[in-house]
Amino acid sequence: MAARAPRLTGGALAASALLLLGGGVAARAVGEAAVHARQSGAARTAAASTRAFDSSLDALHRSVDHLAVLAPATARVPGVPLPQVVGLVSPGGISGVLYLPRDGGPAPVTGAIPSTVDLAGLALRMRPALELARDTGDPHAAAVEGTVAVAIPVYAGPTRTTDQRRAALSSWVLALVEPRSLLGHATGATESAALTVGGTRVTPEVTRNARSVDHTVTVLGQPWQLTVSPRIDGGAGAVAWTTFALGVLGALAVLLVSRRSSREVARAVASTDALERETRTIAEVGPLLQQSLDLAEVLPAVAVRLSDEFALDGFAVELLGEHGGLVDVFAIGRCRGDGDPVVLVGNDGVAAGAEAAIPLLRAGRTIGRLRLSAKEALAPTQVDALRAAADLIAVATYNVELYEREQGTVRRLQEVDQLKDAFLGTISHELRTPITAIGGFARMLNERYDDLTEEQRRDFLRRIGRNSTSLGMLVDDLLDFARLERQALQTHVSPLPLDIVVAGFASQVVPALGDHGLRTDLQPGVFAMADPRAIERVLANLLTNAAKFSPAGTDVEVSLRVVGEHAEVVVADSGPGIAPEDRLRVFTRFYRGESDVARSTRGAGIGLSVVHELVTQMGGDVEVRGREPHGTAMVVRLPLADATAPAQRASSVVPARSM
Amino acid sequence: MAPATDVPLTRALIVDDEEDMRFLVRAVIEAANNGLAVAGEACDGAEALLRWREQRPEVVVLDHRMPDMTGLEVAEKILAEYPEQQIVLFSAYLDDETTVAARRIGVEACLAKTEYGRLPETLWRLAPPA
Repeated sequence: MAARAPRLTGGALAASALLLLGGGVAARAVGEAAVHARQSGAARTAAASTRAFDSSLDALHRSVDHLAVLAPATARVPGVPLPQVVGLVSPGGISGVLYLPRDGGPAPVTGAIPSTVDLAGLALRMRPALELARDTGDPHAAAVEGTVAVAIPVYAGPTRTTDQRRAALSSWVLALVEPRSLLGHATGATESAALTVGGTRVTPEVTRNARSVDHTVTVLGQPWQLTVSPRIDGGAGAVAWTTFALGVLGALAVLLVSRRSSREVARAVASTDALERETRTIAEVGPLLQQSLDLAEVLPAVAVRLSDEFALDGFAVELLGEHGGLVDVFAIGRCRGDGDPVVLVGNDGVAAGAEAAIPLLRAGRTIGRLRLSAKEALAPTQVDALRAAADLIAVATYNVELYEREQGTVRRLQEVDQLKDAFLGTISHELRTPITAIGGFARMLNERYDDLTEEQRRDFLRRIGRNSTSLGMLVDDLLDFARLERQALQTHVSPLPLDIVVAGFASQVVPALGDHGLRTDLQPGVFAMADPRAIERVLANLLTNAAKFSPAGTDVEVSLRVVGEHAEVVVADSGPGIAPEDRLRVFTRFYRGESDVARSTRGAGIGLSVVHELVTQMGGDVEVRGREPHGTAMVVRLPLADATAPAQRASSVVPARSM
Repeated sequence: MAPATDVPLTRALIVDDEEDMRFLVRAVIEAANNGLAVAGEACDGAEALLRWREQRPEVVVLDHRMPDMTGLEVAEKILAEYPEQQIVLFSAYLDDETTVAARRIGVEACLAKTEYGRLPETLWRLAPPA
């Protein structure tokens, strides 16, 4: 909102000034001037006087280029309230806010304060006038470096006593008058004039002569001395200076109009104060957002700060999600969320009680929006300030996003690295054991063939065969693992006579089970939707696993039957079993369990994750069940194919629930 | 290269959870002969400690990855009881970490299983038959 200096037309000013003639300091001043005029005996028409008065006021009007607003930082402390915030109000609006640091360091400026106006210096030099204005409640003038500044106190609170006035002072409005331009306009070529305010010369001295006249009036707490000297060669008389004096003093009275018209001044002050406060709030939001990379930590503080400052009763940050929808990342207070709020663009304000949204932009891209509900109306300048806050939030959000993405990548890389280490360690060990055995036995056979008995040779060959089988399975595991990693583990299901496939593969796998026997119990005529190669991989993994975990000499069992709409293949062992809490985790890649038994067994920790993937792809599922008194049953369920004879189907069409 | 005496022997305790590996080590030692002999076999750490105390072999050929404890854990227990015991850590996969840890606790030699051919000379070096 633009604060306006009292920029009135000459006629209006004259009217205002004339209204003032009835009372107050101005009336006294003008009255005194009139007395002087009468005493000089100069004859003047009312019309000429009014014209001169008008032109003087015009000059004044041009002279008062700026109203400065000074806000004392320590206004509530009686005694030495030096201004700490200086706002410059020009007819076009607020042009700048200057902060004066207490330690005398460089003053941070927001907005533009013309370099020709040394507000900071001005405020320091006219401190006595500021204090007098504050204590008396009346405007006080001071001459400072060729400028006359009039300080008008503005209070917020009771002002009956001096103490109350000191406590209630909220700021001063300064009217800056340039008397040289005023005098230059009011005096013609025939006179030169000089002005001294409170003993301080504000214009260059004039050369006095016999016809020089001095006039002193007390205005705005200071004696103003006018010296008018007619030029030797000119013929002008006292009329000119009297007119001038009347004009100047009337003009000064107009300053009082600006004081009386306190609404404008108060608005200027409030606006500057608000701007200063808003600027400070936004300046505080930045560091607040920098405090943490956890949005959940900083957004509440920012929301509270902004809600307080801009009287918001709802504040939410919504970010665009991966699929283009808005995701609520933070909300406080009342944001109804129904319907779309008005998106603020350009010079909009917000009506009281309305809901609005400010886009969060990052590098020209909308990354979300700030949604707010205004308790009180928001002016366009306040919306601008909120927009600045939105920019800060957008940057912070973007930083958080980048940071999280980077952290996620680092975590994933670390995990992959650890898994890779563990996997390489295991696989190196697993591969070397059968390779060493095969190489060693082959060399023994070769080098000591003649020393060995027939029985020993057969034993060596059996060992070579067994190790070669387990090496082959390990390589299959590795290939499956690679496919799993590439997500290239694929199955093509067709109706499969599961009893025949299982029986056929079981007979092949027996040698790999070492000293464990295999018992089968397969219901005939069961067709399932399955992939033959996948079934082999599943069985190979489950059977060798079962053999690994079983005590030496015990049998491994495989059974097949129809349960509900599924063919259920169960591979069971009488090993130590898997703890209930581990029964889901065993299907996780590389997971090998924490137990002694798990540690003691071979394997890269891949087999069960391959089983899980294959069975899932075939539309089935796999689970671990315990056995009594001990042991593990791995249960694979596959969808029945239509080819399964109706007689083989259970009567229930409800899928069997796991026990 | 090898001392060609018959008695006394350098007896080795073979510790490995894989029967094939125990069989291979035994075959290699017996083929080398020349003062080397097998004192006994153990399939895990606990059995290894038991057999070691019974037989007091000159050398222990110790697998690293075993069900109940690692080879290094077994070696630590043995060396705590008898610091002079000669031990060969005989592992499928030897990384630097394992080798350094082995040296630190006093294991005299580490040998990868693929180098089983060098087992006899290692045994002779560690515990020459008197």
